[in-house]
Amino acid sequence: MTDQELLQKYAGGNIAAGRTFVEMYQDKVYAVCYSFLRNAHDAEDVAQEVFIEAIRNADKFRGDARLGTWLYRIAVNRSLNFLRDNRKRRFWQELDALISSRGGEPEANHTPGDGILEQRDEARLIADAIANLPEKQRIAFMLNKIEDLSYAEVAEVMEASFSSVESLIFRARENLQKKLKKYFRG
Amino acid sequence: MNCTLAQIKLISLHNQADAAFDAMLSDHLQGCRSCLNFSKALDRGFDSLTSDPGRKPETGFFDRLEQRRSKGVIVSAPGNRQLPAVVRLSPAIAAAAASVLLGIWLGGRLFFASVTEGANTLQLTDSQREVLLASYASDLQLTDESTTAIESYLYEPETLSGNGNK
Repeated sequence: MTDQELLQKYAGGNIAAGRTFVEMYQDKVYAVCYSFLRNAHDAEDVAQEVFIEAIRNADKFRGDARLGTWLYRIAVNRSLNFLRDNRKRRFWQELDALISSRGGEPEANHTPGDGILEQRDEARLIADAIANLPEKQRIAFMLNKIEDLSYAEVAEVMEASFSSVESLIFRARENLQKKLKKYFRG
Repeated sequence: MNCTLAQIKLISLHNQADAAFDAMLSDHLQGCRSCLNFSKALDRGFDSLTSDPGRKPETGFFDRLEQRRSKGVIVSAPGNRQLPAVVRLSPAIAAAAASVLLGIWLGGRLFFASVTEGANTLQLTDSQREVLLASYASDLQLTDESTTAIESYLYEPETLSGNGNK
């Protein structure tokens, strides 16, 4: 049974098909939401909404794109809407969970080699730098680098051309290089 | 290859590899401690981001999803976008919008009242009303007794109103 058939059956009330379908995609959908939201509770909430939306619109999915790409698109849109509607919540704020044992910004004159700038600082710096990219650059870069989607897949998810995704990712990389080089100099 | 180009390349994806470019990059890294450190830091940082244990849902995701569906809960955690737009409006904006709508409605009522009143006083005389009512009755083919009673009912207020204007 294809994943599309599983979704159709789930939408029709077949719970066993639903379980198979959801378990097939839950990690990927959740990971996308988590990449944007950096908070387990919010990511679960939005990931559930992604599946609910997919079930509601099961009959509209005509198989032009892969089902996984379609779910990615819903997940990205839902996550961005969540962020837009929670402006008071600083993006990536919950990254502190990852680096909870250390506070404050790393000093710019510390380098990776000197033992002061640790892995969690590096992750935080990178996460902050990504978070501060312009939205489209951020989405393209995250899907490409963090979610490991190819340029073609990113283009499909973002409903953009391959060349515009190339351009977005190139500009994202330039911006990140500018933001990060002051921390990572040897 | 200069450091800027090398660092931009280092940030890029592994699956976008370009053999010729990678060879130049490798040469550059051998002679540039700064970019080598940059490369190692990026690798560690990205690994840390992508290996975050929070990136997988807790067990029982499907059961929680079904629980939510069975409750018909469409609205998510407080503050999510699924709240109706009207609810999200601040009270001040909602009050301002209501005032504007009320003003438009009142203005419209006053305007149409004045237009109607003006039309009655300016355009219809008593004789014209009689003719008009008679023609209505004729159009409706009111010929029996009951329709005569209705006709007189319709006619009397107009007559009184007409007398009042005299």
